[in-house]
Amino acid sequence: MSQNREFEKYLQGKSGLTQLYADLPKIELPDHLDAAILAEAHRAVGARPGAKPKRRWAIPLSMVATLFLAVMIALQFPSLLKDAASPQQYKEEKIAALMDGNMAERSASESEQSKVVQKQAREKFEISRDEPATMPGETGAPARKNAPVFAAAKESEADENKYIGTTSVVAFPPVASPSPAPARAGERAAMPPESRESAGIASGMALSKEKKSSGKAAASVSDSLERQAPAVMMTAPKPVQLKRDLVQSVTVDENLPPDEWLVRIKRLKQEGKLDEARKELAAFIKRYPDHPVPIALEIK
Amino acid sequence: MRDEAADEQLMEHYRDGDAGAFDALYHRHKGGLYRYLFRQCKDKGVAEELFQDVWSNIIRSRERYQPSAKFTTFLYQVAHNRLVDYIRQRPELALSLDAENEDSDSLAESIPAAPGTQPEVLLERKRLIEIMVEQIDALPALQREAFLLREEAGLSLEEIALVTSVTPETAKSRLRYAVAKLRESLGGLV
Repeated sequence: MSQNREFEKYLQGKSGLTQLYADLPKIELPDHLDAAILAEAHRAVGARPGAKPKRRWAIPLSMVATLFLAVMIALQFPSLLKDAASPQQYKEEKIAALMDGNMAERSASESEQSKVVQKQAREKFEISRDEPATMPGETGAPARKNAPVFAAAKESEADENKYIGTTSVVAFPPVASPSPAPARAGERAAMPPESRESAGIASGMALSKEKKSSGKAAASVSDSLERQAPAVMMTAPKPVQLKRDLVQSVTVDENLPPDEWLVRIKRLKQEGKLDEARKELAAFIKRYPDHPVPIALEIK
Repeated sequence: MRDEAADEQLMEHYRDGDAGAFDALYHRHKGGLYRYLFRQCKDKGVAEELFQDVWSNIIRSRERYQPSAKFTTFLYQVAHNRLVDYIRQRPELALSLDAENEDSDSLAESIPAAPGTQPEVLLERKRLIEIMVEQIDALPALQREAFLLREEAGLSLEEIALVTSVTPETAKSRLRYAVAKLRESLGGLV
């Protein structure tokens, strides 16, 4: 029975046997064995000896951050939740916003387009200014070519003015040419009648709208413009009001007194310029419908 | 901080990729495990080989480790199995159950009681240690294993039984005989 008591004492750590065993000489492990085992352990987890351990808090922290972010988004943008609740309303608002955006975009696009047209017209006009109005052997062709371009340039300027909301063509500063009229005036003498007519169109743009002309002349000049500058005409929308101005400017000075005008028509008839005389007479009758016209001026 | 962590926590950290946790765990248990193996096989080279095998096994099985039992139990269970495999390959070292003395009563009667504090014990401590080392080596293998598991690993009777795959009563009997023989060989001085 004493053995049992000693064994109980041993189990409780109160025996001298345990103390004596602790005093046994320690058997030390070789260092190379330590190094080999630790290296194997580190290789197994893909870490170098002395490397920092993985951050175990990274995943929970990222989850918490994500949750926090989601809550903040939900609080900051309640409209998103509202849109989700009423998709039809959201759809209508979206369509309205898109339409507004399209309108603004279209306006910007048109403005951009008119700028391009204006630029092209300016370039053409510069070229036309550099070239002589009449070339040897080409009596009227260059002028015919240049004049509509200038007219188109003016027309595009008028277009831009219309789109950007300016008051009138005359009020727009002459960007293409600072003073086209004097230069044209000098050239007119050398121009054939058709060229002179076209140059008159160009210079007439700068005049007031009060000038009027016959409908036939206006139509012919308009057709001439469209034929000779098709590219510009196609790209730039052509306002009707401007065309009327151009047509009106085709005629001679309508401010002439009736008697002087009649004398001029008579002179044209005597010079054999029947077409011009006929047009001038038509314009005269339109301008002064109550003024008597001599029978001698009637042109058949 | 790592020194204060439990073995199970360190092993979990190592399982999760913390190599430093393994370092702490290794330095905590390497001495006891190596002495356990060395006193069992009584060969330094063999003990080193078994020691490395045991730790390699621990490293490989880290993914399967579940902290349901003490890490010490897990470690010495692996060491016990590896030792048994080694001894099976060498019949001359086979563990002999015949050496176990089942006559506990007669053994108990033969061991004198502790005489208390005796100056001679302190003076002869060195000689007693030498005797104890000899007597440990002379113990039957199973009794020696139970004693070493108790002294080196600090296992309880239940844990010793678990490691050696026996019942707690068997483990208790082995440990009791080992203690009685050592006390007897030491002349009842401890």
